[in-house]
Amino acid sequence: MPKARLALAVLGAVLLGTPCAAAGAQGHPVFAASEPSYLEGERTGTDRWVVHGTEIACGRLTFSGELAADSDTLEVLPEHSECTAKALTGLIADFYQETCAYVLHDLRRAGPAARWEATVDIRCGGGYDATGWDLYENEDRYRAAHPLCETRILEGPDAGTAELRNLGGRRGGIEVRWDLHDLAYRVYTLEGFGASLLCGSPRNGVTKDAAYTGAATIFATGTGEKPTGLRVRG
Amino acid sequence: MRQPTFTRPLVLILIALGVAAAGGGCGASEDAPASTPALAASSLNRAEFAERAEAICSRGRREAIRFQPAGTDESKRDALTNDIEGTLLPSIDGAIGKLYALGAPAEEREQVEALLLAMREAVDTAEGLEPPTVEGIEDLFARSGKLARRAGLFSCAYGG
Repeated sequence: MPKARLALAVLGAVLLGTPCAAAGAQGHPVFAASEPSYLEGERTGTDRWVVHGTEIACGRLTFSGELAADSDTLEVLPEHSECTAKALTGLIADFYQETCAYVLHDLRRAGPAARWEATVDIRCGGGYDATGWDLYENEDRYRAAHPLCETRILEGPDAGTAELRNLGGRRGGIEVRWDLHDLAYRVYTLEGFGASLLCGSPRNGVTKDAAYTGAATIFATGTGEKPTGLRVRG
Repeated sequence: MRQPTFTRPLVLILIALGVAAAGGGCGASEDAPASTPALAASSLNRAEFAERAEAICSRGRREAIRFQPAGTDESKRDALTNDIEGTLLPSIDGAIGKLYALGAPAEEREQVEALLLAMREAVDTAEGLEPPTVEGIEDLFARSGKLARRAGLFSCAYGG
C-alpha cells in the first residue's frame, strides 16, 4: 500500500512537478525535496489543545504524509496518543480518528532569516468531516467505550497559520510552529447533541473557540529511506 | 429588683424574635443561600442580564472542573470522589447563589427561577450520589440544561 501511494506521489510529481518547479524558480515559494518523498515528523517541546477552556495534553504526537517533490502544498496527518484532558483529576481523552490532515499552503515570507509562513486548512478524508476526541471518566468507562462526551473539530479552510523554518544541512527538514485558533467544533453526549459539564454547551450547534499551539519537525525520505532535503524554497 | 409579672411574656417574645432573626442568618452566605430564596427583580435589561449570567456560569464551570491531579497516596477514583464533593458541587452551588443574587429582569423572572430551582435540585440530588460520578451529575443536570438553553443561557447548561 505505501508503495502504491508513493507511486501516486511520483505520478503527481510528473504531472505537477514541472510547473511547480518553474514557479519556485521564479520566486514563488514551494515545499521542495529532491524526489517524491514520505514525510515523517514529531512534536518538539510541548503543545496543547484548548477547547472550551479545557486543555488536552498528549504524551505523543507524530506526523506522516507524502510529498510529490516540489509542491505548493504540504499535507501532514497528525496522530495523537496518550492524551489527558486537564479537568478534575485528569480524564482520558481518546482521539476519535486520524484521517484529518493539516494542509499547509499559500507560502509567504515571514520576517527575516529564512522564515516562512503558511496558511493551514484542516482537511479530512475517508468519509469523515471532523476529528476530535472522546472524554472518559475512568478506565472502566474507556474499556466499555462509554464516553462522557465527544468533541469534534470540523474540517475547514483557514484554521490558522504555521510558521516555518528550514533546518538546513544534508538531511534538510522543516521546523513548524502551529498556531491554529477559532476552530469550529461540535459536542455530542450519549443522548445525542447536548450540553456537557466537561465538553461545554455549544451555541447553535457549533462553537468556535478551539485552539492548538505547538511545534514540530518534519523530515522527508525517498527511495531507500534516503533524506531528500525537505525545505521551503523561495 | 423583681420585675412586674406582666412584662415577662413581652421579654420572652422579644428574646424569641431576636433568636429567630439571628437564626435566619445562620449558614446563609452571599453565594449559597441556605434555603432557596425568591429571585429578585433586577434593573438589568435582557442583554445585560444574559451577559452577566453567562459569565457567572462560565466561571462556575471552570472552577467546578479545574484540574487537580490525584495525590501520590490516593487512588484516582478516591481523588475524583473528593474532587466532586469538595470542588465540583460547591462551585456549581456557588454559581447558583450568584445567579440568585444577580436577580433577573421582570419578564425573564419566571423562566430563570425555574432554571435555578432545577439547578439547585440537581445539586441537592447529586450530593446524595453514591458513588458520585461526573456522568451521574451530568444526567441530573439534563432538565436544567434544557431550561438553560431555552433561556439562551448556554453556559449555564451543565448537562443534557
